[in-house]
Amino acid sequence: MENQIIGIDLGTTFSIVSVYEAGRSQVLRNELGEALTPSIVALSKDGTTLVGTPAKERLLANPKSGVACFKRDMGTDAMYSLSGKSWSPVECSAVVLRELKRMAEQALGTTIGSAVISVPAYFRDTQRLATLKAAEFAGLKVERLINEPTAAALAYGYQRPEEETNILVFDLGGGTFDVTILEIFDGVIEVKASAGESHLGGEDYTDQLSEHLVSKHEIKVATEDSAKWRKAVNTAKCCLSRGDTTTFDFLGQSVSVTREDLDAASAELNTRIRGVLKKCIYDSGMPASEIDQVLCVGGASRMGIVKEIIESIFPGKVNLSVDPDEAIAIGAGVQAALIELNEGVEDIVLTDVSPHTMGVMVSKKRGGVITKGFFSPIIDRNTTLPVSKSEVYSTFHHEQDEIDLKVYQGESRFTKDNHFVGNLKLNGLSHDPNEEQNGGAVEVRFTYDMNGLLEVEATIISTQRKITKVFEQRPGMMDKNDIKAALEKLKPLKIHPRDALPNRYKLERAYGLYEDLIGDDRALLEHFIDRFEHVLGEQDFDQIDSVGESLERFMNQKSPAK
Amino acid sequence: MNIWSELGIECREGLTQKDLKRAYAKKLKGTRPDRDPKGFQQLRKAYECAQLMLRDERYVEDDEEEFVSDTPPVSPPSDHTIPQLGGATAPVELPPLQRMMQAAHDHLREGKIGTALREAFPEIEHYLLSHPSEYRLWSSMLSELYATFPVLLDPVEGWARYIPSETLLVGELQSDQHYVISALTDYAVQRDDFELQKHLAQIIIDHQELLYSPRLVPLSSSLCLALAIPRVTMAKEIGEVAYKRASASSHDSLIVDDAIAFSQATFILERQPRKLWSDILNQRVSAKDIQENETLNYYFRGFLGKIIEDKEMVNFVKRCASYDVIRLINHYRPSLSIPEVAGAKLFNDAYISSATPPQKQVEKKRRSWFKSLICILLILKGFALFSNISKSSKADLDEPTPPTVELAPEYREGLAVMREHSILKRLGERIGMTTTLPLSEEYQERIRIYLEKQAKEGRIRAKHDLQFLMERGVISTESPYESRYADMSAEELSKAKELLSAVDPNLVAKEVKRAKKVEELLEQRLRQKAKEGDKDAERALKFFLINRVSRNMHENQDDE
Ligand SMILES: Nc1ncnc2c1ncn2[C@@H]1O[C@H](COP(=O)(O)OP(=O)(O)OP(=O)(O)O)[C@@H](O)[C@H]1O
Ligand SMILES: [Mg+2]
Repeated sequence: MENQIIGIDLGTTFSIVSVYEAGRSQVLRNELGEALTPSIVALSKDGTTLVGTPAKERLLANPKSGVACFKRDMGTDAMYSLSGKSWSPVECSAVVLRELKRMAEQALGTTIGSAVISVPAYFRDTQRLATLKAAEFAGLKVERLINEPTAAALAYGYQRPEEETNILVFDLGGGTFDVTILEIFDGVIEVKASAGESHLGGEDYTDQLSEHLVSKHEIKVATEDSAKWRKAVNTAKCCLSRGDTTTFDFLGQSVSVTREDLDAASAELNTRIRGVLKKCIYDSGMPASEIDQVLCVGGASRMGIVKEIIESIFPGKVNLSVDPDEAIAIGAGVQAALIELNEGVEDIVLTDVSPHTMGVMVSKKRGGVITKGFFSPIIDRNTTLPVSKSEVYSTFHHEQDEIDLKVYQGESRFTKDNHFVGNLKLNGLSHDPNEEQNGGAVEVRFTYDMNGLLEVEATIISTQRKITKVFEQRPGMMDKNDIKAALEKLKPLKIHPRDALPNRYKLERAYGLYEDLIGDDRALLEHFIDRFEHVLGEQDFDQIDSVGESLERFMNQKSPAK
Repeated sequence: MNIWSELGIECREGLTQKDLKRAYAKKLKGTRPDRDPKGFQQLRKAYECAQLMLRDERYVEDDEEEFVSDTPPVSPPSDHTIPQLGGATAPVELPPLQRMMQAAHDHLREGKIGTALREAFPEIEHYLLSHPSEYRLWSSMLSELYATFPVLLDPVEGWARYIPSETLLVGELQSDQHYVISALTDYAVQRDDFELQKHLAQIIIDHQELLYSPRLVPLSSSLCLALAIPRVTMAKEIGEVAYKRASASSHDSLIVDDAIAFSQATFILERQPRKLWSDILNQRVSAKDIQENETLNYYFRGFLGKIIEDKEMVNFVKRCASYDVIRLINHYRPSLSIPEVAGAKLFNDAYISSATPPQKQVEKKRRSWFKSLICILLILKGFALFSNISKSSKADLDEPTPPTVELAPEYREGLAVMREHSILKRLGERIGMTTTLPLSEEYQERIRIYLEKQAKEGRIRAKHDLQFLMERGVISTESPYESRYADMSAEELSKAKELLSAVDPNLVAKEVKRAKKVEELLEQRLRQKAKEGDKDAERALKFFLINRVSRNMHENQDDE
């Protein structure tokens, strides 16, 4: 189909792409048959940009060569240095998006220009904008940003629109946690409330468990082994979702881990999870007993302790019919179909809410003293989107000519505790108090769109002069030069057979294995690698596959692929 | 268009939420939020309004009952019509929660706090348990109640006693707005009501969810203070939870505020006593490190607040009080909490005392009768001077000059700002004025007179302070009143000033009265003489009047 829109779940640890076809939304796979693309970017020894599994392999061999979990830094000024080059989270996300776009194009045999991308419901304005920017770099037009838990609910609800039910989506991914309560009736999928934390996920459980084990068993982890250690701990954490104990081997030392270890290490995280659940329930105005089912999504929701928390609040309500890894991507695909007005989903309407309160900074005059820094909310959190609301503010004094309208997002009375979104300067407000009645008054209108993005418009009431958005300053945003440089950096390279995904993967895996082996095995492996590199370098297409296969066979003997 | 036609249904008796949903869903298919945002917003508004109206049992049968019972629904009395948006409504009975709140309000207004606490609020409590969805409404009503409560509830204890009631807590915990607790905390802090602060702090500890309330975080610093003095472990508890949360999540609406820093510091303090200070002392950690590193920053500020509680620490402080540290404190000054200010002051004093010579032991307070006697004598002496009776007094005492220290300019500036602040603060307390810069002319003159007087009494520090303030331009070198002295000789001037400063502002009222009498007499006689053409008397009179101006100033301040 022409102009097809794809759905993308751009995760902290894994990303997935999906498409709606023949009445179903389904995930797409790459040449290796993988649906889950690790959200990791790395630079190979020769400076090629690696993404996904090859990047993951590369990272294992050389932790400094790449970066993972960059989604956590979206919307900030964070920078990573990869082999001496400096990369921003937006650029890294762009690389992943480009890879997903490539996967989709390959699987569907068409070019893809636009996408629906899911973001954590609790993402703020700046984080959303950063996601849009990443898509732009990757050559994708974003048709809609959809909240991850909403997408999960859509994945569940689009095939049974007539069901009448109240759903709680519990989304504990690699790096973010969202809880959303929805109501489904007559084909309407209505989000009632969302709450969350943008830095709470499976990776935090891994971190805590790792710390716990290090101090319990007095293990010393050298920097160059850190990635290996983390991988081992992570695997152990996942094993504990199935059994009560597990053992792993780390540089010859056998480390045993129990459910108790994990529970003890994660006590504080679990408290936070309970807090968010509570908040969302209160915000929805629906007693917990009215929730009919709980959808658990995100890989980390598989953990025993997490299941127990859910079970304790919603006994017997967990619905296992959705795939925790794929649900969000599938939902994003459904949203794409909704935008395309696909007839398969014409009976469905989705409404979502704004997860944060939006407002401006005001000063108050109390007892003759002017105090700055109060937050004046304009749009309350959990208001159904889109919404447009306005408030009127005025200057303190008729000689005051300028207002610096600072827009904030958050729940505190004080702006210093909320998030700065951007500012907007207005002037021409001084007036003669005898002549003009509404001299210093400004109407500030906030419009929150379906993507969870804010537009601000200020109108000076006396002159009806309007000023729209154009924030002068937004944290974590790039200027023109940076954008140019980033585009340059991300320019798609001509793909050498060496860089074709399966080959690249084999090579990276081989390099990693090379470091583990010794003696004859190592020498043998070197021989295989040499041959493979040679045929790749010659671009000898007849040979590449067969030589590659023998390399792989050898590697599987020495260390079976997972 | 009214809400019902917007939704495409008729407003009729027995309308259920289900009917409403069905109608809304139907309309929504043609008014999709992304295709027709304007139309959608209108539809949504109508839907939400209608839902609210139906929720109110006044108008329509509870739809749940309809499903549960088989008996036909009882039709509501005919005069209960559903109001239209914007249309006039007939006066209707208040819904239950409002009614109960009204009752509580009435009790309070009549001063029957006990009744409110024993009867009205428990009733609400009971009601809310079975109607959890109304907590929100309730908490907003409570906040209204708060707005009027300083009037309604005096003494505050009545209110404070109500606070631990389960009703309030359940509501507060549910609503996550925490109106009442935050409002009360605000109130307690403003009034310096330590008991109430402690009380609230206890509640927050008992219900840790409250700690997560962003609304409360900025207030918790004073709460921690309230707690920390008698209950260090508790403060630690707050600090630990809040700190962990704040540092582990970037959920930035939870900020590490003074409170957290403070209690965290208390917490760290036990584990690594004085480590930070000794690091600073041994220059392992520089002020710059502290400023740039968030964690050190918290610790530093927390320690600052702890100093006053630890006698031994003071010695450390003295040795750590380098220019850099002073500068750092200076940097934080606008946001320091009360205990931190106290710590900062210690630093400041330690620093200043290392730069100025030790203060001379001030003579014991003279007895008041003696004071007044001197006062009178001096006035008489002043009179005598102008009548050319007395001889000139002996020369000013030689004062030792302070040792000069060679300081780098920026070093000096930092020191100067600190000193300026401390002098003004001290003086402000003494002569009862606010010391925000720039000082008004009157305040400048007051300070000048006060310091001059003290200097005359042999307080070298006062003299230095005065000099210093003038150098800094905090008070002008020229007295605004100086021009009035213009035609006096140098000796007369110094005498006059002596006279001016001699009038002790701390005279007891009786003595002032007596002095006044003498003054009156003096004035009369001076006027008399001046009238008779005595030039000296005329000048003396002028002087006398100026003198009185300053006297009045002191008196006023005594009145305050
Ligand atoms: N069986 C398991 N038991 C416990 N944890 C698991 C299991 N499987 C995966 N995880 C954890 O789930 C996380 C990844 O989940 P998921 O792929 O849903 O996250 P994501 O979509 O990448 O991140 P996010 O949605 O937060 O952006 C990882 O931290 C992983 O360790
Ligand atoms: Mg995810």
